[in-house]
Amino acid sequence: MQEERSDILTERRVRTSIRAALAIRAFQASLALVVLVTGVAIAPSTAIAVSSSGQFAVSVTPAGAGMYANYTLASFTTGNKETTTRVAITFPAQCDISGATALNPNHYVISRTGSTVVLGFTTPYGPRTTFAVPLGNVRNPVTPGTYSIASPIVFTLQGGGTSNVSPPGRRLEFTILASPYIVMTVETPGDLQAVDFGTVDPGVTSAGQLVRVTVDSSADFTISRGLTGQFVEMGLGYPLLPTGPQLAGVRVFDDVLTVTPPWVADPGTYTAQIQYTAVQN
Amino acid sequence: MKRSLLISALAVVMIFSAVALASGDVAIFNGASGSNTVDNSTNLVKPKVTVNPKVTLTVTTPDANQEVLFGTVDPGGTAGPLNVTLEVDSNKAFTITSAEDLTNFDAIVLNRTLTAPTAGAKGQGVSFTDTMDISVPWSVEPGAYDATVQYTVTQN
Repeated sequence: MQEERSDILTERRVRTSIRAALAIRAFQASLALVVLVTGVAIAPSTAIAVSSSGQFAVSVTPAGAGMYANYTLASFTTGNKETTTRVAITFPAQCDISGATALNPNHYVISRTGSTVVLGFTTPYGPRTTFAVPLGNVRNPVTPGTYSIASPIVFTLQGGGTSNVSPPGRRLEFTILASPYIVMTVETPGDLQAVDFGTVDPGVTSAGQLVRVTVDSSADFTISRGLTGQFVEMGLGYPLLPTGPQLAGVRVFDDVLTVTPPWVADPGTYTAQIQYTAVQN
Repeated sequence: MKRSLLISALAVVMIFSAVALASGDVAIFNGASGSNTVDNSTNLVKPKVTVNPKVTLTVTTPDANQEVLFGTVDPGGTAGPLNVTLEVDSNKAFTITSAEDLTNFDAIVLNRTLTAPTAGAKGQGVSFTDTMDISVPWSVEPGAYDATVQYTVTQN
């Protein structure tokens, strides 16, 4: 009888042990499930939608100090469910972005504020799309050295926010080379470097039209002007440009042009071309 | 919400900036890397003008009010020559013609010699002379008589 009791007791203990173990395991499973759910809920709602891909870097052409250059940031890749509408790029303060332009026909400049250029995409880049961002007419720092661009900020639609894109552990660096530089900017009253005097009677002097030539040079220089085309038939008038060396730095030359068509030129339309040349001494 | 407002403000700034830049053109030229020279040969400045056709005629007579006064002439007599000077400004080759109105000149004969312009003449101050003289026949009764001459310059 005792033996039987012992057996019964043993059985009961075993059964109890099994039940406890099962209960514990079940609890553990439940606990794990809770943790998993919690982990997903905790994951940030602003997960990065656009990532960098490949050798994410910036290229600068040309890279000489003080030159106007093209900057290309490549490559970006949109996320699985994201659409990218614009990107903001902050250059180092030593760059001049006041004339920055979009080089990709799908891109356009929204704003230039301080050192930040915001580019919009006419056709937004859809999911899983790789694209580059080229910019033109950015002036390099005048001092040679290594500079870096802060992480571009890419704006997305479905993401509802911004995502910072940067290569892990790496900044977007570029090197500006030491070189003599000389840069010329020519501003005309008309598009495409045009100076249109309209219709003028022979023997009459037109109103002046301003062509502004700005030279930024690392050394003293001289400036000259050359004419081709029908400037005689037009009766093109122009002031004397300053002769002799001009001091290094930024120098502005205002070329006020006029026309006085001579009576010996037939009625009609006449065109000419003007070349400005600056040479360091 | 704040982000949306910021973007809108940037868009407004962009619009005003775009209007300001649209009035002309700016071209930037780099000197080649390492070069000490720069020019705008890749995008020259291009002046342009359209010249109107124009012609002017200045008529100078020996007397005031565009008159050529032969004075008092006996019948059977002549008077002159007197010159009318014409000056043409034309920026194209031209033709000059003249037409007389002798309605009130009775039988008085008006002789004129207008020098023709050199073929293709144009420019400023192209000058001609119309030399005039008259002869009065006995059939013309005493009195005052006048005629008119119209000159016309036409660009070819």
